[in-house]
Amino acid sequence: MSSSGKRDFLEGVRDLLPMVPGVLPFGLIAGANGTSLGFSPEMTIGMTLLFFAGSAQLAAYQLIQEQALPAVIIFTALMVNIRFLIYSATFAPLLHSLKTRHKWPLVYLISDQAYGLCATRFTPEQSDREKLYYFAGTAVALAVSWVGSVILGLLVGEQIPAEWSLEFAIPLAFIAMLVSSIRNRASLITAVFSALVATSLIQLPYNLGFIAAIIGGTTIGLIASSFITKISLKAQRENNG
Amino acid sequence: MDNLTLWMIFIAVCIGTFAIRLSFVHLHGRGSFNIGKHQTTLQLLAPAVLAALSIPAIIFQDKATLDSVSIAQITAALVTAILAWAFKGVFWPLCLGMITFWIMKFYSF
Repeated sequence: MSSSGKRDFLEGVRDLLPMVPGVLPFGLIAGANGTSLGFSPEMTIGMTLLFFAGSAQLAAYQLIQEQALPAVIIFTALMVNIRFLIYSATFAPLLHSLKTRHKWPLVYLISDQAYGLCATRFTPEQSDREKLYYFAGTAVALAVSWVGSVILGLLVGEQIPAEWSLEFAIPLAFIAMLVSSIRNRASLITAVFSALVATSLIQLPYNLGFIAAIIGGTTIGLIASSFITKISLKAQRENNG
Repeated sequence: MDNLTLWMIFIAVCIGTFAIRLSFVHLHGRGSFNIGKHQTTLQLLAPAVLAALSIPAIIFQDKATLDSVSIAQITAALVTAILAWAFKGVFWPLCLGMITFWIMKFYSF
C-alpha cells in the first residue's frame, strides 16, 4: 500500500469509528441470541461471517425460533438484504473494473455503514483511487467491529439467564428500525397493511401469512405511492393554472 | 431444526446476498436495467418486511402456539416506537424498551 493509499484507508477507518456504538448492540444481540437458540459458538460465528448482514441475521434468528420453513427463512433474509442492490449500483462505477480477487472481497464487505459514509463523503474532485482506499477503510473497520461485537455477545450471552427473554430484543430492534423506515405516507400505509395481514393470517401454514404480508404490503404501498403522486401533480397543476 | 439444515440456510443466504451485492458492480456499463425506476419498490420493502417480522412477534407471547397477548411486550414496543420516532435512533429506544419490558415482566403489572 502506498503512503497516500494508506492515508485514505486510515481516514475511512477513522470516519467509521463513531458508528461503532451503533453496531455494538446489534452484535451483542446477535452473539447472545445465537447461544440462546442453542447454536454452538462456531455456528454463530460461521453464520455471522456467511451472512455479513446484521438485520438479516436477526430476522433469520426470529424465524428459526418460530420454526419457519427453510425456504421462508432464506426468502426473508434476501428481502431484508435487497437494499444492497442500491449500494451495488452506487459502488458499481468504482468497483467494476477491479480484478476479481480485489473486487469480490470488497463487494462482500458492502454494508449500510460503509455505503452511508461513502455516499455522503465522496466528492467529484476525489480520484477513484482515493475513493477506493477510503471505502476499503470503512468496510474493513465495520467488518472488524461487527464480528468483534458478535464475539463479545457470545461471551456475555452465556452469563445472561433465560428468564430475561433477551430474544425479545430482536422484534424490539425491528420496531425501532420500522419507525425509521417510515418516511412518507406510502411507507406508512405499507407498514400498517403488512402488520395487519401478518397478524390476521398468522395461523396459515408454511408462513404464507408472513409472505402475503410482505408482498401485499409492498403492492398496496406502490399503489398508494402512485396515487399520492397523481394527487400532488394535480394539485400542482391547479396551483399553477 | 438440525445443524445441517441450518448450515445449508446460512450458505444459501451467503450466496444470495453476495449475488445482490455483486449485481450492479458486475453488470455496470452493460445492462439496460434502470434501478431508479424500482427505487420506490425497494424502499417500500423495508417497512413491509420489518412490520411483518415485528408486529405479530410483539402482540403474541409465543407466535408458534398463539399463546396469550402480552401486555408487557406491547407496552415495551410502544415505548421503543415512540422514542425511535422522537429521537431518530435505534440504540437508546431499544435499551429503554427492554428496561420497560423487564420492569413489567418482573413486577407483573
